[in-house]
Amino acid sequence: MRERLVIALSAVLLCLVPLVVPNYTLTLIVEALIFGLFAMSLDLMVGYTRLHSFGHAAAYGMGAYSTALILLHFNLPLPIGIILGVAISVVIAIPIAWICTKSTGVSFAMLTLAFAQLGYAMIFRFKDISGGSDGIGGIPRPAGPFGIDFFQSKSGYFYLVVFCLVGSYLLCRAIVTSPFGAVLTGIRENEAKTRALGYNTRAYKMAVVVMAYGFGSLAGALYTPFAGFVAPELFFWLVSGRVLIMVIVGGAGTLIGPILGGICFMLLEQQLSEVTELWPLIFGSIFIAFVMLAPDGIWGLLTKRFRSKQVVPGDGEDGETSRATP
Amino acid sequence: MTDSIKSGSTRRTILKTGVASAAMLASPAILRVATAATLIKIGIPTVITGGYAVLGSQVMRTCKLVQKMTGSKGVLGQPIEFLYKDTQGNPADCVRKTQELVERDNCHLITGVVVSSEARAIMPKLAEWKAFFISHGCGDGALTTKEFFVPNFFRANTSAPMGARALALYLKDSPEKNFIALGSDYAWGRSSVAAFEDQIKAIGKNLTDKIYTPVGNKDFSTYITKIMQSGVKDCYIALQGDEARGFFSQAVQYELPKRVQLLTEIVAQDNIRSLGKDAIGLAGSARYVFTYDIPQNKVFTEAFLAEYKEIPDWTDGEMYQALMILFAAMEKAGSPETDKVVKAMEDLEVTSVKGPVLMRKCDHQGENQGFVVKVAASSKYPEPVAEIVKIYSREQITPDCLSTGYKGR
Repeated sequence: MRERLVIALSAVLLCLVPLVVPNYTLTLIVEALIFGLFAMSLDLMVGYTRLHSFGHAAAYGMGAYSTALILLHFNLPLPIGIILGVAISVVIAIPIAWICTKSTGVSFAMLTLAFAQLGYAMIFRFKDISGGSDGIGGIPRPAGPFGIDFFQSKSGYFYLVVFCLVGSYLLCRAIVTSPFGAVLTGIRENEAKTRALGYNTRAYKMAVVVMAYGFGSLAGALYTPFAGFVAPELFFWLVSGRVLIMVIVGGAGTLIGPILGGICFMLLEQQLSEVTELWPLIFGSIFIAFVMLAPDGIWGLLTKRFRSKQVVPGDGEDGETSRATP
Repeated sequence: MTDSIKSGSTRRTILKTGVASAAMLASPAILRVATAATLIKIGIPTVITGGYAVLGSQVMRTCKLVQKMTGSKGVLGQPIEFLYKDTQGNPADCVRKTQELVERDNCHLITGVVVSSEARAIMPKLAEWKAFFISHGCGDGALTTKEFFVPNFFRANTSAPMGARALALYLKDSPEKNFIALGSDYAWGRSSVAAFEDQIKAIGKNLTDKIYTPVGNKDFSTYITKIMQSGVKDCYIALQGDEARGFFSQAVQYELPKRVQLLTEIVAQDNIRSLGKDAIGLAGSARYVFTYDIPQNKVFTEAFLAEYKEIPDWTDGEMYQALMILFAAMEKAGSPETDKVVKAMEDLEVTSVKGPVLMRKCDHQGENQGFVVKVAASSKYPEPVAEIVKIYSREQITPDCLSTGYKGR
């Protein structure tokens, strides 16, 4: 109840953000929320199914590039462009998931990395379509449907991102608390036992990978019209590494933790890079500190006191008590 | 509070103290606003770290010199302030950093962008940001073509097609018929090689092969071998920054300059330094030649040598020229506001360190003279320097309006 109140209050505060913050801060917040959504998508794999992906940038890049090409070449309303961008990415994600889930553990991680790097290489190979190393610029933020131009403004776009983030969170929450989510938790805890119970674990893993790619590509699709530009770096392994750090620092297996991790990572990176060129060193230290001292991440720290009072041993709802740490 | 009122600190005293404290706290902000109103801010989103950092460092040192030279008088009686941001040569970062300059620092005059693909990334956003951007060194010919033209963008520098054109005009009388080209695989490198190919074909010669190296490439051994195996005696190079340094250093190891005449779109002092004595004989076009003997250049080179005890490179000269043109436009407009500067810049004619420059209205490309140089040993300087062998008029080397071609010339 208290948690829901906090979430509702946060949502209300979020809605007030464009009215009170300066223009540039709003830009940063929009990007941070997009990264939050991206991190949450990876949490479905890492936190709930223990499928460690080193190539989640593929989802982000696919969503970004497919939306960019749709918006550039077809005169479609913005939300339709985003939806189509995500749909294309989901279709591409199916064979990726099929191949990756043939393996487990490190092999799975390396296969996901290979697909992301393949995407990166393809951007350079098909430069007539993708712009190669120059990327694609001048991506529009068209109005519509029905002539609605609300999303063309920065504050309007902020609400679109908040809507997508909150909607995705609720959807992901519904997934992880459903019987389907229980099977995912079963796979995470003991895949062999889950299989012995009669579940086709590979099908479940495939499904969760496709879902994670879908939400990840939504983040990429939202980024594209906002930045007005896409570059091959969106597919690069550094992006995959960053999002994995966001999940771990935020708190894997909590959904909301990675959102916080993504937001904190983005804002902290921005502020630290202003102060010192050695910001990656500080970042690395923070990451090490979290892994060693706070394995439950930011969300774990925030809810520690609350959980110790509320949670009955064995209550595994939401994955709160049996949270996995990668 | 009641106690304090009773003990002599009246409500009025507390109010006075509160107002005074608030005024004290607010004064830095008020002063900041007042100072901001008298400063002209110029945003420099440049490459401070990464493969093109050498070019970014040249941009920054020239800006610092110009700041010193203009002093407190500045432009329009307002001092200049340069705000530097590191883009790492990455277009996405360049968009973010420029946005930060515009939205957070309220800086609407932009220059110092090093990489053409970075320029391509920010140009479509200029109207939304109400910002003005003048290029000092982005060479991609397409930036001033119909496809990419944006009203708030001007290019003061020599573009890749212009450099290639000057070199091709020079090579017209060369006995060599076949050429090979090697360029960096991004906007400028491709544009440079494509322009060279067009120009060389137009004078009846052949480009036998084009090699593109990945951005940030560090090992050129396979490409050098390919050039040597091609049997071609003249090789056109379109590389910059660390890539150029890496290539020229390895070329010396493989004794490439002894077997092949190296030609380049931009003869850079930094590359000459990498080659050492092997640079002697290197030919190519030059965007800026520090030995060009005109009063405007003398003022700059003397100030530069006095400040840095180093020969200014092409980026220094082009950056200086871009700033002088920007200042001239602001003086003409009587204001640093974007719309007014854009209007004043159109058809503005300035005599700068490279001679007369016309910022033509039709596509916002600066018409510059074309220099072809050859590197020679110098008794005056401790390293070989580029010496001018031919100067082509700006009409000869500037492409047709909104184009990279020369059909009308």
